[in-house]
Amino acid sequence: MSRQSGTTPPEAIGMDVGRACFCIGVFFALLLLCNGAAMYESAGRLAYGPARDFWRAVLRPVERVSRVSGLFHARGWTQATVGEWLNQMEKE
Amino acid sequence: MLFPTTVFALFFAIVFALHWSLVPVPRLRKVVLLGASLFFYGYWSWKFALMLLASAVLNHAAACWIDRTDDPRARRRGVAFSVAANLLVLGFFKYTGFFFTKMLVPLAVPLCARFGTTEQLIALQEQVLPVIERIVLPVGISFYTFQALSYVVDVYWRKTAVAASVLDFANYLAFFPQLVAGPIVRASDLLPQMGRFPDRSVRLDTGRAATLILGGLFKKMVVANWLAQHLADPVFAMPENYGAGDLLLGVYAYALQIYCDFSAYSDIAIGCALLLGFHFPINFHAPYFAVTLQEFWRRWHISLSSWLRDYLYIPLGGSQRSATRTRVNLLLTFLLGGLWHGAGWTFVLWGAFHGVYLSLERVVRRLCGLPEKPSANPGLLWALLGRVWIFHVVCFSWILFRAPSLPVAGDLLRGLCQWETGCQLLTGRAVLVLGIGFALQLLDGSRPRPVWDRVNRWPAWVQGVAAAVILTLILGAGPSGVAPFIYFQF
Repeated sequence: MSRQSGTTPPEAIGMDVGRACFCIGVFFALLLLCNGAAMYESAGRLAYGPARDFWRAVLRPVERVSRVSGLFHARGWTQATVGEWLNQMEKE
Repeated sequence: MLFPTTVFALFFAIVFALHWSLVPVPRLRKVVLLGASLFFYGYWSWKFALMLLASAVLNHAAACWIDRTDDPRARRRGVAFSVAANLLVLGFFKYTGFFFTKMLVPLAVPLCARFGTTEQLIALQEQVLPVIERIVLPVGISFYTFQALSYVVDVYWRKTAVAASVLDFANYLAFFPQLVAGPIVRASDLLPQMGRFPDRSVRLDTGRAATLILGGLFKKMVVANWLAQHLADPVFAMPENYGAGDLLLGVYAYALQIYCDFSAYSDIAIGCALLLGFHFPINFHAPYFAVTLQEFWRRWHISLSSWLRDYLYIPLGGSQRSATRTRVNLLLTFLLGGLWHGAGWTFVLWGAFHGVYLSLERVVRRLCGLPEKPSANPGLLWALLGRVWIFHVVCFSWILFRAPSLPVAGDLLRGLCQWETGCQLLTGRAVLVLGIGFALQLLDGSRPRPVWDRVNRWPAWVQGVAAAVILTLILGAGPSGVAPFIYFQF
């Protein structure tokens, strides 16, 4: 059993906080646009109740923008190709 | 709240924004982080979030009292009381059922039969079992209890200064990225960071954070979930339905599934903490590349193995006394390490197996005149043979760890010994995913530093776009639904 390693904070590398915030903002915005339609569909599979209503209400505009921008194709294409090939169950 | 969910993404985005926008108001920033951590935990159960807060307050009070007291006997009493209280709470939630149904009742059955009190025993069981079944294990209690223990004991040993305020300590104990499945970060590592939150002058290693988070999500959502769904779960559910080849494949799959699952959680936790300006130690370092079992434990769940070493093995005497005592210490440490993972005889046996094997490894190395620690550069053949052997030793132990009961483990081991031709689970996809799972160990430690540095040089918007595209591909490639992390149950 060894001592924990890597405990010393690394030297000042990376980007400043402001740029990091911008980076995270871009990340979440694009993530929503690429996955808005899938997230809306997934919210539709939640059990009926306030949580489902809330998520569907929140994700509805996101889904629309995702479809209008056409970015939802990225997720749909991956799911239809790699996802389906990888996750199909073996035939008995 | 699970990492690979929309809820967590939204939660993290809000916490990230608040954390960095409240820099001018440090106290409020600490309160907000604690509130966020409690919300993260309370999303599952508010009652247990309050229990976590109570644990933070009581442990900090105990540490302050120990720190202020000069009388050695009073200090010893204080630390003993605190350790006992923490272990009692952990024991109540985690081991009551095991103690009653797996230890007390099997011992009482022959005694009651002898004294003619079997009916009373049955009546007692009927009264007690429904109460035990109502006990719900709080997620992550084993992890935060160990963190609290390390803090109190370190204060007692005067290795760590007591936290400046209960708020700092509560933030250390409840910090959401590592709260429910580790890594078990020591007070000496995280408490100073909680005392002085990072300000805007820090530079965030976004290259490393993004690689860890996206790599972790890939490991969990694509590899670990696939291995569980297609290979490990079916084989461990009904081993009698499979031939030896399939069983072997299922065991390999579980070995890689548990690595990808658990190291994924650690990686995501380290990455999220990095984005908030906090640094955690690494928890995995290519464990299946180990040449000896001792080395395996230097690479697997490093924060737990070093905790067990520092707070159990060394206080028991470590390897400083006789060879027999060293072996007993090793066995005890791993027995308790096994029991920490779960309340069941399979976990106890898993721990015992590791303890006994480590003792034997020491004996054999001494008999062969080999140094206690393996050479950093063993010959190519020796390294290869050692790796293959240790991988299989660890795989054997995972059978005990994963099997729902000892009879199932027995069925699986029997099946492995009866070799038959034909292997229905062996497909191109299975080989591909197993290979990827094994190769992902190359991302552990600081090996990908050149990649992180290169990513860090990209403009901020390019990093954001790349991360969003990669995550979308991961989400598309993974199976639908969210499987919980294996270590949540511990």
